[in-house]
Amino acid sequence: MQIGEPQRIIIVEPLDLPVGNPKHGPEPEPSILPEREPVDPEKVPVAP
Amino acid sequence: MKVPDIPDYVSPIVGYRVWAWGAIGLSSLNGDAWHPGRALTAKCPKADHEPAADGCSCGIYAARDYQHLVNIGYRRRIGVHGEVYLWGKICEHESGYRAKYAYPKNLTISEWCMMRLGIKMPRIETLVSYGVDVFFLPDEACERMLVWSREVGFNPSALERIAEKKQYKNQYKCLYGNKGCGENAVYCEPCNKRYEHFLWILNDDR
Repeated sequence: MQIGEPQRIIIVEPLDLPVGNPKHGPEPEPSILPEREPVDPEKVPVAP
Repeated sequence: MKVPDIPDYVSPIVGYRVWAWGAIGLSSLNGDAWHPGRALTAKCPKADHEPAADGCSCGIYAARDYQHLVNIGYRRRIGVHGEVYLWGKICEHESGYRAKYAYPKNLTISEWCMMRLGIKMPRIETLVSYGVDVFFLPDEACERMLVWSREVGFNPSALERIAEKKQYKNQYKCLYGNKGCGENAVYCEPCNKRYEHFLWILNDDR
């Protein structure tokens, strides 16, 4: 494609990329949170 | 210590370009495939530097405006054209850009392209897979028609227009047997089966 003479170099880093992020590869899988300890209802503090 | 490049802009530059349109999707005129949902990343075939490098011809090309595509005869010659997002390192030229990263912003099918390729629904769906607005530009009209968008899906009016161009109008009967549809309708209005009918029309090999 004919686009004429070069003028200047610019750096464009969009805050929101139109699609994916080619720089950093695919997004990492979300980590799986550890299961919570079951709550003992008798130990739960109750507001007066 | 290398000082990181400070961005000049935080929104992508929008250029205009054409694509070759094959059975599985879009590609650059040099044959590089543009994959749905993935930015195209330029690589310099001549040197080990980051595109778009000053003093080199590497990078993904786009015109500065639509008129330039028309002036150099690209729009009519290729058929599928549209706006393209450009980002990363970009070399600005007098009438266009070379960029490191690119992804289509929208896509327009010209009537010339459609008549030449004999477009059927599966091929239109290859454009839909990019998830950007798809338009149809009848040669005799100044304004392009929205064919598909992420928000509303297919636009029945544009599909009807394409079906008319394919000269399928008046060549089928309603599959659903609704007498109100008539034999000459492109879509089955009373049955509200427009999209299914369009698939049937465009997948037909008559």
